[in-house]
Amino acid sequence: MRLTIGKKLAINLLLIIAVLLGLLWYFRADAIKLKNNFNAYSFLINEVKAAKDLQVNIVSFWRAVLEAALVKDRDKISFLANKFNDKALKNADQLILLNGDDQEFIARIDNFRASIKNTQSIGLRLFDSFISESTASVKIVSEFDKAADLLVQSVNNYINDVMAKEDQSRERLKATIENLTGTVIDAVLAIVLFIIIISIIFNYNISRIIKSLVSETDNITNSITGGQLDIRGDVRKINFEFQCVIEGINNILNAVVVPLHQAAGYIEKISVGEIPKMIDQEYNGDFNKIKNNINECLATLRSLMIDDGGKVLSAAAEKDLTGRIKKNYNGIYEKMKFNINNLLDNLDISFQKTLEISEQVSYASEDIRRGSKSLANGVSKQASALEQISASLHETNAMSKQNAGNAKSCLEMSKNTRAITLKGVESMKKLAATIEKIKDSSDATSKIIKTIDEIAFQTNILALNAAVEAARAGEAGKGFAVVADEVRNLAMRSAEAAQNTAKLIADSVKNSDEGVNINTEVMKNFDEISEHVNKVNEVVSDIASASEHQRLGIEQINEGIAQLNNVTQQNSIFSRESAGAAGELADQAHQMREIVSSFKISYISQNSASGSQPKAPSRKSSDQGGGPGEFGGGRQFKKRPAVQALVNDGDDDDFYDESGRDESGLKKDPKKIIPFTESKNVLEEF
Amino acid sequence: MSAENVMTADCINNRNTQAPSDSEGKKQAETERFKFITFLLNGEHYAIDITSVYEIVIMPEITPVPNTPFYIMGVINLRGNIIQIVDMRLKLSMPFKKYDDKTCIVIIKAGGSTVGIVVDRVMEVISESADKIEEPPAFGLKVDTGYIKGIVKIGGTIKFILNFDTVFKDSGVENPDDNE
Repeated sequence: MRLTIGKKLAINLLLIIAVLLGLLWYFRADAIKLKNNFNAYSFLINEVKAAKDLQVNIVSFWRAVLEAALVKDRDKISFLANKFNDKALKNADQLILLNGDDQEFIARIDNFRASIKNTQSIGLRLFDSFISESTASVKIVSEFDKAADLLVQSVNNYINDVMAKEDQSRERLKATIENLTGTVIDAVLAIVLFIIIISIIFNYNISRIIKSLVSETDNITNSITGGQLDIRGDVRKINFEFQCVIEGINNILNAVVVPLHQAAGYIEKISVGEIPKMIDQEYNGDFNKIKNNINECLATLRSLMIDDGGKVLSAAAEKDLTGRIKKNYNGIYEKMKFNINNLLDNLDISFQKTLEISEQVSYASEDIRRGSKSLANGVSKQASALEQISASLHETNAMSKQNAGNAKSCLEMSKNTRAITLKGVESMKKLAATIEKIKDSSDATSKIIKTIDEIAFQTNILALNAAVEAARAGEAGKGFAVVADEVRNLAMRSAEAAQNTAKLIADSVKNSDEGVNINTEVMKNFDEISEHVNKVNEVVSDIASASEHQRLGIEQINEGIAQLNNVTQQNSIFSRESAGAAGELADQAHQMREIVSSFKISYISQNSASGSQPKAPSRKSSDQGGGPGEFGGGRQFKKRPAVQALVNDGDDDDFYDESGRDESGLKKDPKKIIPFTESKNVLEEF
Repeated sequence: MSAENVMTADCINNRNTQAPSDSEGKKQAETERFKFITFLLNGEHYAIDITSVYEIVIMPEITPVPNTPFYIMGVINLRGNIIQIVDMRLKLSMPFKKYDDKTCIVIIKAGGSTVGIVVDRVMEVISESADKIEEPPAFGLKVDTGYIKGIVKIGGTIKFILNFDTVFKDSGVENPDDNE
């Protein structure tokens, strides 16, 4: 039976619904019966309640009447009687409403009502009797009691009846419910069991179908992820409903695997170094894209490996560096192309440069050779110059020795001078003492002169007195007057002489004072002289020691000159060796040039003038020899850097340095420049 | 010095004057000749008739006398004679000058009494004929013209001849002599 899972599930659901409907039908009669019983029971419960209320109201009424009678309050009695009567009547009406169809019951209730009314009237009468305190009251009381008892009795009976009816109904209901409950439990159990069984059956069936599908799919995916692309799903193992799934998977695999296999084959070929032809088959969508990519890859590889790059590289292997990869590529191929081209460029430039450098080396070695020659000349000149220096140094040494001797004798002389100066100071001291003595004697002389002057003065006075006496004597004293006059004249003359002498003495005192002053000055000068002589002593001794030092220094210089001589000897050997080395260097540069020339270089056309024939002019210049050749070489060196600059900027500095050195070496006369600078440096070192 | 120069100059003059005086002694004897002793006072030359001079004394010790005019310096003892000493500078209203070794006292006869006058310096003895003595001028002199007898010009210098009679006329100098 071929049923889909949806249909199976629907059948299951319908079966369950039918069973449930049957069960419901089966329980319908019982349910109605139960409902009726329940309604009757609930009606009876209400009836019992109303009857009980009636009973209570009647009893309350009875008691109230009795109490009222005892207190003899008519108003209260009437009020209470009315109240309870109304309540009882209402209960009765309720009961009638409840059992509207039952005639017997209605009659019974009407009976109650009548009794109640009767009791009420009796009660009212009783009160009246009580109030009038008639003897009839006892009778009425008994009547009332009787009526009341009757009423109560009938009510109680009624209640008993109702209670009995209620019990009966309850028993019935109980039985019905018990019966129904048992039946329902059995039915429910049966249905549940049925549903469980059906569900288990269906579940098993469906899970089996899905499991088989999943396992098959799992197999396929596992094998594909494991790389086995030839595995396909088995349709027969699967439920008819899911067979399309496996078929779809198989189709997908078929669509993928064929181009994949083809691509794998191509790639295998590429990996073993073959470049196969393009793929011709047409594919759809993304497979076509794969095909196109492979084709493009093949084209790129073919062009890079064989047509374009391969040719260039094989040419390079044959020492032809001129070829370059020209086509445009993408990504890493472009980079590779760039690198190969770069490599070839670099090799090209390097060889070109090597060629040029080897030329320059050969020029330079020639220069070195010439330079070494002139160095040797210079060294021999240096040696003769050194001998001259050494001779003049000997002279200088002798002179410094003489200097030292002179300084020593000078020292002696200055010492003598000092002694003489001291003697001079002594003499000056003596001279000062002498002058002092002269001054003293002058003083004494001046005193004497003063005395003479006084004597002359007194003589003058005497002469005057004599003249006076002569005048008084008159004629007799005339001769005496003449004598007195003569005496006075003498006195005057002696006074005059004394005055002159005094003047001279004063002059001499003054002169001797000056002499003393001059003497002190002279002494001061002598002191200064002795000081200066001391200083001269010091300076001269300094000069003596300095001359000694000078002499020692000159000896050291002599030693230095001897060492310098040795160095010069060595220099001459070295310069000869360097000339030999320069020759070797030139040979090696020539060899290097030959090796490099075997390569075909792209710039060969540009350099054909200076590159392939550089030997000829250089040889020519060297053959010619002397100045012109050197200058010709220099001009060529100047030209080459321009070409070099076009090729590569990086090496300009080195090149210019070299050329600069060469030019400087060529401009100056090497014969002159080399020995002098070197000897100078050596002298400076010493 | 100037004084000495003057003195030497005077000596020369004296010789010069004396030489002709000796040769022409008889001519000059006819005209009356006067002799004077000259002295210095405050730089001026004064003269005194030699006949009124007793003696020239080198400055001795002067004993002051109380209650005398300011120009009377005191008295001296000259060989037993007490002689009044007058300072001529003070007497002739000249500034006082301290005495030195050239200061001398000339003992003179004045109005009948003997007086010693203190002078700066005694110069020389001069001799002049009477006609060379001139009258003193009426004014322009440092001293009272009443004291001056006359003026003598010798060389370039002017010498006043003092009249001691008038000099001491109204002074207290004469009083002791009067008493004698």
